[in-house]
Amino acid sequence: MKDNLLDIENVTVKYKVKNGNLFFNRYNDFKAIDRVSFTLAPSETLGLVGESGCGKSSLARAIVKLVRLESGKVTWLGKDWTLSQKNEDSQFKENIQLVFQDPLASLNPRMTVSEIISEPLENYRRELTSLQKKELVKQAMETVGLSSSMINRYPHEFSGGQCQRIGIARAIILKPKLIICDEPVSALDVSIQAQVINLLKDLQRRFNIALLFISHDLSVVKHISDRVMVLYLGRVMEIASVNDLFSNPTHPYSKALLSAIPIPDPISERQRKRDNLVGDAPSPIFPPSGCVFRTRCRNSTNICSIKEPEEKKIKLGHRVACHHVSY
Amino acid sequence: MEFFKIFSQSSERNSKSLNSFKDVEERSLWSTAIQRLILNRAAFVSALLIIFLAFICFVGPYFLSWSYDEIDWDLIEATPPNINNGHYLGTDSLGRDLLARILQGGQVSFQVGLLATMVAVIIGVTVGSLAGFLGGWIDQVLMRIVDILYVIPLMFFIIILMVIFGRNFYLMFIAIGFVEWLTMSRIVRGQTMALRHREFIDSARVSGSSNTRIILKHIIPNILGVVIVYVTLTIPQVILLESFLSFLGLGVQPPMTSWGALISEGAREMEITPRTLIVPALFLSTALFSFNFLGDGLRDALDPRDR
Repeated sequence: MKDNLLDIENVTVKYKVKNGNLFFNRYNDFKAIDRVSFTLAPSETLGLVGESGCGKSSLARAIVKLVRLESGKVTWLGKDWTLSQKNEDSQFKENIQLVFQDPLASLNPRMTVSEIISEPLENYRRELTSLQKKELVKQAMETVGLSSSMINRYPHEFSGGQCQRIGIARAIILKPKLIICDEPVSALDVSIQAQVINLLKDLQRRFNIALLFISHDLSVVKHISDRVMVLYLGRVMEIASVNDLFSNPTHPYSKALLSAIPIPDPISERQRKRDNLVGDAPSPIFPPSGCVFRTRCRNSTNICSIKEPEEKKIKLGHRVACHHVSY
Repeated sequence: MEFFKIFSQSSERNSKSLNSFKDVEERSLWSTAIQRLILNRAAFVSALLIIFLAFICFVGPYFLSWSYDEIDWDLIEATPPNINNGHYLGTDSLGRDLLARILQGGQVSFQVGLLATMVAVIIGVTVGSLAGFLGGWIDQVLMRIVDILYVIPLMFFIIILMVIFGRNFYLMFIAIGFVEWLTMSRIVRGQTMALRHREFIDSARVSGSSNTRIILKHIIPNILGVVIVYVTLTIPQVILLESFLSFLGLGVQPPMTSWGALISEGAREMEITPRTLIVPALFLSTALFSFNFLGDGLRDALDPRDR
């Protein structure tokens, strides 16, 4: 366990939803993330997939402490950081950086690129002179494929892909050990997506960065990840290596997800068998009893509504939370 | 030799700029803003006008042969302008030199307009951004204080201040500033709350920025546009409020005067001598126009997006 970069154990994130009338405030709790556990090894890529609202972003935000953990434990390099003190925090925080979904919205419109990228330096490398900082910023810009002559421009002067590169430059400038990518390419068009994904892969190889890659695009996840975790309503459905999951999906939800990947060939696209899910995901405020997926699962039986399935290990590094999966 | 040196330097610079034609030199928010303000003709002319008006108001009285409180006993009624006796804009109904009074009134109006607004901006932006950004009970406490202060009638508040601290010229700035910050803090709070959940604030936090840094570097530059527009609306309001207070005897006292007080005096005599109304009104409206144009220009200049 000590070699792991990040250990997440039973992490739960709760939000409050106002559900009152004019005179009374009533709040409903809902668990965006419910007892999620996983580990991340150095320079490994974990893909995180699931449909909208299943808690992918909440998990990312919980890890970097943008959202308070309700319970659970986050262990970084063998040390518990859940209740850490402020001054210890910096070692943890400067090693985990986040790349955001919307490239332009994650950059302050009133700051130049140089100010944006050097912001982590201003907070964690105060001892550097402004000249050294500028040099580091230029290096980071060259690394992500931006011309360093654009250093004094403002974010709105860049295209979406370039903005995402700025975001990546800001994330790598402290040489972190883990970058969490919160749907970094979903706002970009396909040709730019490929560039950004390859850039991330390339950076990972060069600097030995671990990636937690969140996406709803399975083909992207397949391309970049070593392991994949499937989330549904804030719970882990299946976690497996890329090959295991894509060749042998075990959980009914994973099967349905994989069958929804479009095939870029009209003939085989028309012929293939789809495993369509019926309806929408139930409200996370009032999740179904037992297995949360049972309302849309074709295999569901009595036990599914009574008992919550535990994660079963069907293979080394392949865990599934389903009653109907046998070893 | 010297010539060649310069020549080679400039050619070097030329080739450099050709190589990296996208190169943009380093610029801070304010230095670009000033550059762009100069390019905005209306704003630039307004800025010059304000500087000019302020200059003649503060320096002009030293060059006049009459002071603002001196009565020319020979011309005890309002007399028309005359270059020979030194009353370049004539006298008012008490025989005092109108130009000298306008300049002295300008001093008061400028001071009130700028200082009181500054007090309002400083308190309003601080309270508003803290309440909006931190939220929770801090927001509740600060906004309830604002609510309570809103309820207190302005006159009542100022009279109480005068009773406690005695009549003081500078007390008026504080009193007016203290009233004007309420609306400012509400506006800033609303803007801050809208910004608080933007992604770049989250990204600043992941980059390790403290709350103070986020407010100073991310929130305030982004609400500056709204603040400046509100400032340009507040300055005229404050100048008029001051004339109202002076009219009630709570502001500046005769023989001192202000533009607002001059106008209300002039309005009483406008059927007989419209000059005593029109001339100070011209000064005041020129200044207010200029402040509005300058504020508009500043807001545009500070927004890097519409360059």
